[in-house]
Amino acid sequence: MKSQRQNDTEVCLTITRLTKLSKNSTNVREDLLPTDLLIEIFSRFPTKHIAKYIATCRCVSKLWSSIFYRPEFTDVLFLTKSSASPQLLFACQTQSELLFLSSPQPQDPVENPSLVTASCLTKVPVNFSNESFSTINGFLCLRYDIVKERKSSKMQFICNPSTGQRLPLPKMKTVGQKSYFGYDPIGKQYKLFSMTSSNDKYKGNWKEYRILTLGTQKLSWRRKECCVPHCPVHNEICINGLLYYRANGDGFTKATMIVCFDFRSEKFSFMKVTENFSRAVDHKATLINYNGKLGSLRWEEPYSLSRGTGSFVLWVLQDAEKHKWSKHVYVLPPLGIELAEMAELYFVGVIGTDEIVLSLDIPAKPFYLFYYNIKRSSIVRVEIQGIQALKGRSVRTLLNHVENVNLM
Amino acid sequence: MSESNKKISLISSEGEAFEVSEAVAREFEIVAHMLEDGCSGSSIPITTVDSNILGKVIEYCTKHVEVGNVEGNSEKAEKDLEEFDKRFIAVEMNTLFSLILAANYLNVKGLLNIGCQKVADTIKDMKPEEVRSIFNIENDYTPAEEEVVRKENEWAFQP
Repeated sequence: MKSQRQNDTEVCLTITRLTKLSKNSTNVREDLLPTDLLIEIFSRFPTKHIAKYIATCRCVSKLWSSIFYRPEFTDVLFLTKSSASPQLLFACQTQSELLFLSSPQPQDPVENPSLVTASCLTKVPVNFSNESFSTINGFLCLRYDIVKERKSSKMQFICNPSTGQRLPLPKMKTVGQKSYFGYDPIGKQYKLFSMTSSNDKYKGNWKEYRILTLGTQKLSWRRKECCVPHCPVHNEICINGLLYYRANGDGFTKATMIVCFDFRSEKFSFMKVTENFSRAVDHKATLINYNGKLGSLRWEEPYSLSRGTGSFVLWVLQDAEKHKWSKHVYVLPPLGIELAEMAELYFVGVIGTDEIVLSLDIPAKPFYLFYYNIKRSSIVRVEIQGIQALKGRSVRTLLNHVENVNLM
Repeated sequence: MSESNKKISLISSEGEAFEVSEAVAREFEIVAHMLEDGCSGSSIPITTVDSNILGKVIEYCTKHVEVGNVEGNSEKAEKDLEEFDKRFIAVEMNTLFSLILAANYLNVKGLLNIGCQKVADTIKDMKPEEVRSIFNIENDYTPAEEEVVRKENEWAFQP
């Protein structure tokens, strides 16, 4: 029997000793779990409040802290895990603070009404100018006004609502500044692209273009030349490292071009607005990320939701070189609730290819999002619990928010 | 059918033999691979796992193989298995760590999963000092460094 076992031992030597374990199991404590197993454990923290758990673990030891900077944790495990379960992010402005809340993002809800609960992430003790901001890999770029000795200036910082981290950005001296925050997915770099009116903002002389690369030791702005001087108008959208915004020559008339700025190559390209699709990009249109393509949503006129009807157009840029857009008209079914007299429905964005999300500019009680499914032509009301109690003056909703635990 | 009746001996680090059916042994992916690679032996040394832990891992795998073989009434079976897992993993931390190490080494994915999940659930609401104590980790931060890291993450300790 013994010789048989020895034979088997020889044949089966393919089992190699991976982890040296003390025979006495009470000594296991001294054999710390190897890093790969710690990663396995940390990646099993519940997604909700994960940033908080990780912040605590960072304080345990240098080794533990270093694990959270490892790309196999931050990018591979965590970002892919949280990208798979995107969140809704709400920015709620109260008297003195901007509160961030998040909730699970319903995918293709069918039950009407549906219900999700938002919980508070972090708060920023400032008042915000009514500018748009977007979320990129869980980071936001925010601007606020500081009034000092009767002089008002704008401050900017990068904020990660999940970790609460705030990174102030270097000031630019010039007035009339507009900044866009973006990410180069290949070079894995966050950048800020900024335009300033160098002399007189009323003449709309937007001629200075600057770039700031984040994650570098000393943050400083670099000048960027552009052969077509232009002024941005209305809101923008950033899709896979490409920033799209509407612009014109003077800053006052309607948009005459769509500018595409590539955050990787830092090059501009321009698309002239022709009569065919001028309505897709005018001031009443909302730019969206339609499954990686530039899209636009716009109410058809006359728009009268109070009567319980309303139709809108979805434009999608199919071929940027040939300026080819696809166009579909959809009729919105009744929302199923009474709207406040002045309340208007606006487009928040798109989830996947079928779910168009709308919200009310004056927050209703309770707070709702409306999911319109373009395949089924159905509307589902999603009640967001936890927002109404904050008595916010305005609530901004951001879709597809990813919880990111990286520090900038 | 005869395949599944075949017995295999798993030998712990102390040299103790545990006789199990091939189906149970195959739950150890490392063993399954060896058998597929043509390793025909009937006894397999598991040199890094002691008898106590090996016995437990075998208990876990046996239960999962048994439940997997029962046809029908899957909802109840699943619930039972969940209950079993819950009880199985309710052990003191040292044993839990040993089980995770063994499950990782033997490549028993289900056990590795519930083990790691249990640790994650246990430590998630702990203070750093408590985590250090259960992992027996020495605080290698200098007081100055600790202050910096605490400050950076202090938002997490606020209610």
